[in-house]
Amino acid sequence: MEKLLDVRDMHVSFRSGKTNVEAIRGASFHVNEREIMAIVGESGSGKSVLTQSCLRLIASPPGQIDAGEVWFCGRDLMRLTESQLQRVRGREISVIFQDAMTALNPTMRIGDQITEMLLEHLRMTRADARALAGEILPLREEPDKLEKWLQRNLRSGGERLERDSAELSRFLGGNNAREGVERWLLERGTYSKEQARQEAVNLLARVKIPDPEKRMEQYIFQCSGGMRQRVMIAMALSCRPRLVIADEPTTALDVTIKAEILDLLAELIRSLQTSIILITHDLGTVASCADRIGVMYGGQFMEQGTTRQIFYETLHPYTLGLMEAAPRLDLPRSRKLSTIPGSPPNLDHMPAGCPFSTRCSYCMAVCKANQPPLTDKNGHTVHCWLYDPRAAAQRELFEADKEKKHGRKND
Amino acid sequence: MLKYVVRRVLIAAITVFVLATVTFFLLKLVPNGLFADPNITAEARAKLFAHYGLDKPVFEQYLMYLKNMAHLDLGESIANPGRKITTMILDPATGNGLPQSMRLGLCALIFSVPMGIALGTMSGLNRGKALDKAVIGLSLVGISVPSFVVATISVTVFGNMLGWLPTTGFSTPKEMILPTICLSLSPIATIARLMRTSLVEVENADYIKTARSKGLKKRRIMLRHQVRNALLPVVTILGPITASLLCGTFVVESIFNIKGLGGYYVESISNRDYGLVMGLTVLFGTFLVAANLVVDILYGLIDPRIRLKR
Repeated sequence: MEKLLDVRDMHVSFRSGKTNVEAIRGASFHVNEREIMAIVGESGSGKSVLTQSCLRLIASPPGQIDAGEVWFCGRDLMRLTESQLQRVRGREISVIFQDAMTALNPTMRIGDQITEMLLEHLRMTRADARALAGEILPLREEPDKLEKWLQRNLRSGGERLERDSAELSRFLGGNNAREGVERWLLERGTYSKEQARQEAVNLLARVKIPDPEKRMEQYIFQCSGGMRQRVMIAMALSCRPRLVIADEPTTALDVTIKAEILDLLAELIRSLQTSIILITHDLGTVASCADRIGVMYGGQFMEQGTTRQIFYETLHPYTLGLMEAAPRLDLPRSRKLSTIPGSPPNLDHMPAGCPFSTRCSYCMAVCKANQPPLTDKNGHTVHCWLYDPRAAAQRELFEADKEKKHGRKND
Repeated sequence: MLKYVVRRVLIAAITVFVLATVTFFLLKLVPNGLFADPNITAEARAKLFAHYGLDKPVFEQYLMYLKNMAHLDLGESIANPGRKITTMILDPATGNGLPQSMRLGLCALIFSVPMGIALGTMSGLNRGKALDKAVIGLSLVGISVPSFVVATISVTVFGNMLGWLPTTGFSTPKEMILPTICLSLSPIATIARLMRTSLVEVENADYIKTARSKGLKKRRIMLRHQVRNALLPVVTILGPITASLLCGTFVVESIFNIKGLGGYYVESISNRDYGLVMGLTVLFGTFLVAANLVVDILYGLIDPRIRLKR
């Protein structure tokens, strides 16, 4: 399977006064084509900061991306210019935020908020055409690169791609190439306000909002919680992005609406063939819909693997603790809910070694002083000292506990 | 929206009525030493009391006062016998008084509102840069330096030393420049600071991050999302600022020798001209209430949350 998004060794910090707080400390993950990748972790583990940093959305200052690469369709998003990145945001990667009430503009009509995004990405303005022509011209000798550029920037594909390349090469061969290309781009990118409006109505209908025409004229405070989140989803999917970052899309909703919204999201994602990064702290949500899961703690990934691997072949004590803490219906009600002792680490004073070492029942001397190494078992990765050959005794302890607690056996 | 407007107008009317009543009774509580001049005989004093209706029971006086006010008649000035207070304030013959004050106030308003918003916007959008620091510094000066200092200095510098601008009167455009600027400084500073704070607050709002995540261009985010929402709180302070600018100012008017209402505020009290005091208080109160009413309605128009919720 091809990696759609490949995030490598991200480091993000926040500066406040003289102190520098490292929120993301070397996190790597990837998202495959057409899959749901879930990122779980407690509040403050860095889930939102990490994903928003991928689009350079964190407020800066105080936020700052210190290092890392974010590869998306052959480009490192960290090295794009702001205007190149603007073409990725919303159009290729869009974000669904947690609370649509505050995430949508309170003084702007719902319809306008959707159409403004469609127009931004689908309508070619003179300035856009000029900028794009500047990107096309250097590619005139390299048809392969040009095709790739067309696919990426104009969503050209199949027959359309053939036609586009043919037309474009005619202009590129002409004697006033720049002007020709600009004119061609402008003609190709005509998109009227009326078209955008119609598309917005269709989108609202698609997320099952009754009477979409009427909703277009309304404001966000006139909608119920579920409706608001639907608007947010419609907006995020409006340009048919290849990746959607859903940042706790259902946390602000009550349980029945939550299920509806998740189903809707899953359905739309499938029909649009989009990938999704689902950020949540609810393991139940994840178990039912995610393909792969990454467990974050203290700005790092503790464990990553397929949903099956995470749930049935748990490798990290933190993941085990999280699953232990989830309420279960199949156990006697008199049983106390289990918790992970202690509280998430203060990002100001992170332990030198594993961030979880202060709360881990299997903590060894090495854990406190040294960053745990990465162990990869068939794509199931874990950052933990337990999988060092020298820690075999401690590891057996963990395996035994896991078996006792779950009646499960590891391979 | 209509319901909202009607309600606001009713509340405004009640406010003015309460204000007029409270002013009336407060002035009745002032130790009454009217016409206490030893040269005035008891007989003459009784005549004067009768002339101004002061011999009647207080409640009857109150009803008369209300009735007259409904006809826009504020009675006769005590300090200037024979002159109606209404004519003193409005002065249609010379154009002095309120019209003059309003001309000055209007100039200051037209100058200070766009100026304050522009400065505040520039500073809020360039936070931490030199421009921002300059605006903050200037607005601090604008708020803390009293207008008589600014007015005196500007008269000395631009009028007397450099001789660029005239320092008295308010009829030719050239004469208008200095008083307008002196009167505008403090509102400009107030508006600029509020606009800046408001912009900074909006900048951290979730919907700005959403706008960025939509891939909108910076300019559009700034104008459509940030500045528009940041303007809302600024509109609210325009009410009091408008009222205080339009109803005249003692300091600027007397320094530039502008015959507006400003002088009356001080004279009427030192002369114990109670009719004029009441008239001015009610006038200023009405302006304040009316300006706030306009702002409330304006706010309703700008902010859909208010327009549609009531």
